[in-house]
Amino acid sequence: MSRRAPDLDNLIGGHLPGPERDRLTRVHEALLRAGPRPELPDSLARPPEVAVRRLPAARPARPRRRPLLAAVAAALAVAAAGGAYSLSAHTDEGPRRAVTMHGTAAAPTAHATLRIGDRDAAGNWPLTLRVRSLPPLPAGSYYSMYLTNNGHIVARCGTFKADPGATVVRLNVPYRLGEYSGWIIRRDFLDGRPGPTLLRT
Amino acid sequence: MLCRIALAAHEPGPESAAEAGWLAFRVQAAVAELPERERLPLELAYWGGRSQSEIAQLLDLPLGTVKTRTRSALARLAVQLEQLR
Repeated sequence: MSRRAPDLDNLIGGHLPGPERDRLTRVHEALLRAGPRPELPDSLARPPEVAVRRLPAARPARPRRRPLLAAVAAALAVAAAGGAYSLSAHTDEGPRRAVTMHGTAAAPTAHATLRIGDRDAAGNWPLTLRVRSLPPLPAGSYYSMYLTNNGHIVARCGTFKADPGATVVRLNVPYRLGEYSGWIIRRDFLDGRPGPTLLRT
Repeated sequence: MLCRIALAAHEPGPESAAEAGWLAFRVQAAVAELPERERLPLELAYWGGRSQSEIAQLLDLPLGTVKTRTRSALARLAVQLEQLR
């Protein structure tokens, strides 16, 4: 599959009157420019404590307004982007009710949706994973889904196998989902070796 | 030399980069607020690189429904983003 930019006419079908089409075109272009919410690479997922300690002591300097303004704006944008990431994964009630998962470089054609059901009285969350086009499993391996926090695997949600086409898998997890920031699906081996990450939110 | 100067003049400065980051955040936040039935096809189309047919298969929806929901999502985003101006 090629990661092509979507065509607006193909997306919405049919013809729209000029002003309405202009409005949707602006949103279309904004979506293309924005791209998906950022995900932190592992190298950036941990706070840079060592780097902070090595910073030299700040010394007074003459104010330089434009760089300062740009730095403040950039910091706001970065903080806001982090907020967007959290917002997209959680609500006040916990995680949102469905998430999309996208294929990594190891499985570029794979994709999935994960729907989160209502938590039962004991604290279990039912999950319905609809996955498509995962690469075939080598002998002695299976797929695993994990919860992640800041790019790190923190809890396993279950294991499964899948057909080359579409497969629906039902899982159940007892975790406090609001404490996690993402999900991944990985290929694991029966001897305990981890395989590549195939899908991520 | 002239070419280098011309190129430098067209490179985005830190202010415009910061503004672009801020706008991207607003768009991503607006998408996160969409109803699930509209958000999923939109995310798959724009950020998952999926065709409308693939999205219809994945979500188990008729193709026309996928288009309708995508169009509705874009219209809803247009309202939200216009309110931010």
